[in-house]
Amino acid sequence: MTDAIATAGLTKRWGKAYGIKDLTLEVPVGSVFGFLGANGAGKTTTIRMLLGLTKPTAGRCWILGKEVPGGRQSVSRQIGASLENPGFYPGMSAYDNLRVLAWTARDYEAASRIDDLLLLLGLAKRAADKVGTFSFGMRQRLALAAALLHDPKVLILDEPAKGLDPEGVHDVRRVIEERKAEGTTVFLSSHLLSEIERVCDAVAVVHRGAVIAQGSLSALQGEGEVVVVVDDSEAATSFLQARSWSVRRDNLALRVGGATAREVAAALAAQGIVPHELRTEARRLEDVFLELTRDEPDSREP
Amino acid sequence: MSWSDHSDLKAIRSKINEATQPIDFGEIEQQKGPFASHPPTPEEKRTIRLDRLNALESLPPVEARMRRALSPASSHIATLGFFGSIPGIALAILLASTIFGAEFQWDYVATLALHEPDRKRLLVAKFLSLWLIALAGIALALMLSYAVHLVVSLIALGEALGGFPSARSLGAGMIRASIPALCYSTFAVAGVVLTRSTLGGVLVPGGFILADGLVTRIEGFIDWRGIFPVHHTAWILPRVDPSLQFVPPLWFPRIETVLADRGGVQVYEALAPVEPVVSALVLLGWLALGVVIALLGFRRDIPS
Repeated sequence: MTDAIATAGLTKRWGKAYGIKDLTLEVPVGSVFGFLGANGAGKTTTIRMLLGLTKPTAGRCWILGKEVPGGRQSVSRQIGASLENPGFYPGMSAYDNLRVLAWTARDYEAASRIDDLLLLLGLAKRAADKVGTFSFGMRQRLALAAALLHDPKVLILDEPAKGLDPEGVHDVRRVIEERKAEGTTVFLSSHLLSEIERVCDAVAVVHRGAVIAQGSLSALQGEGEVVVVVDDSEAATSFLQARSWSVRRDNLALRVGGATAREVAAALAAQGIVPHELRTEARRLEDVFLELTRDEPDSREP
Repeated sequence: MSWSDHSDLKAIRSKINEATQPIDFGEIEQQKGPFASHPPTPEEKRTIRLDRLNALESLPPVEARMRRALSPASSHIATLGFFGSIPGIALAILLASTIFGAEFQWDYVATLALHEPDRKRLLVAKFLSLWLIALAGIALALMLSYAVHLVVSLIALGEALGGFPSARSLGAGMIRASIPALCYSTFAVAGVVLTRSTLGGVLVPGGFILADGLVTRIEGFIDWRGIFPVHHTAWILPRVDPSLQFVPPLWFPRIETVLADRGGVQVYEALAPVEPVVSALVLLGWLALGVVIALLGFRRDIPS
């Protein structure tokens, strides 16, 4: 099946500075795809190129098989998107802002969905209030409602949880999970790695304008670590390290890499050590991300 | 109440023609004493004509002048003239740049582009709505002006001199008044699109008008008036005879004479007036150019 979103050699350059360099992505249909990167890594530039707001210097991109920006018109209503700093008419109500956007897209049926969307995003009580009185978090919710206005097949979200309270973050996650269940492809850029970890099937990590890792979340996280809690952790550490496994302390626990839980259990038993706790834990995405994006000290920007 | 500006204006014009017949200065000197200089200064000539006009109306000079200024025809022309005047054009530029510039300032252009990726369609829709707002504003200002003239005449003269024009007069006047307003508001939008800021929407057309007005006054560049917009803005709208005005207008000055060097002697040379149709075509050409520039500028990246 065609990828929902694909790019090939996508590049954006301003003078000599690269925003994005030779970016190639493949986002499978129906997946929730996390797009990770530090500030300035090129995430927003990539998203704006996908949405036709910024022209690539080189390379191509496709959404639902149509090359964008040229072919975007034919699939425009199948793409919903929210930007990092969403803009609305401040003097107009939330309801009217959405209605104007529905009319702008000539999607007159969308107007009938506005009430449901405002309810879904927790804005029903403020539907008649002017957007100028909204907090940033409420504007983010409204932006998500606008992204869902045309009942899209592809949802592109740039930092949708930015500025949201925990309840708002939960609502965003719920919306993403619901859309995923309905078969919508979600392309999600976020700094909240824990949220990405909870909802995404696949991720790409972009660093300094280039993709440095891409694949399923489980593949990226690897086999994980064995967490073991023992009485004499010092003795256990030297014993396990002697077997060429990586061992690091994490409070009372030891985190053992390069071995399965069975191997660690057998090794400890052979030494007569009975662990209080022994479990396998996947590597946290945050650790993977930091490991991938860690620069050599002398290569960091001042 | 409705009136025909044609018959009203015709009557006034006929009086003005009578009042502006060649002056027999000898006869006036016999009545009022000798003039300070020969021939009399333009100001003295104007006073003589105004006195004649007042005498024709058999009214005290101030009342006669007030009646002429508040007459429906002159109020109609004076109000239309505002839209081709310096403050009228400044208002059009300010409103257009504020309305359109705010969409960049609020990042709303990006939101719209997400829902309508065809930038050309988006900008054309913006232009159409802007021009509709401008036309509605002109119609509203005209109606308001007639009402004000009506009330002022009632207070000042105890008689309602005003009234509302016929649809034909209003339509014809609006077409002439709207062309400069639409042209300069289009420049403002082009300025916003090129600079992505409200301030740019004011400075780009403002600078252009200033440059046009200054350069086309320099000898050697005077013929450029034929292609640049400011001169045509001065000619497209009807003007009330100075004797019908109560306050000095702020219209763009019409250049009807030009200083020329003739063998070392500097002389003033009369220039032909410009037909309103020609001015309208030139201004519409500039409007079209403004639209094209804005469309090209709007194809660039939308900033975040």
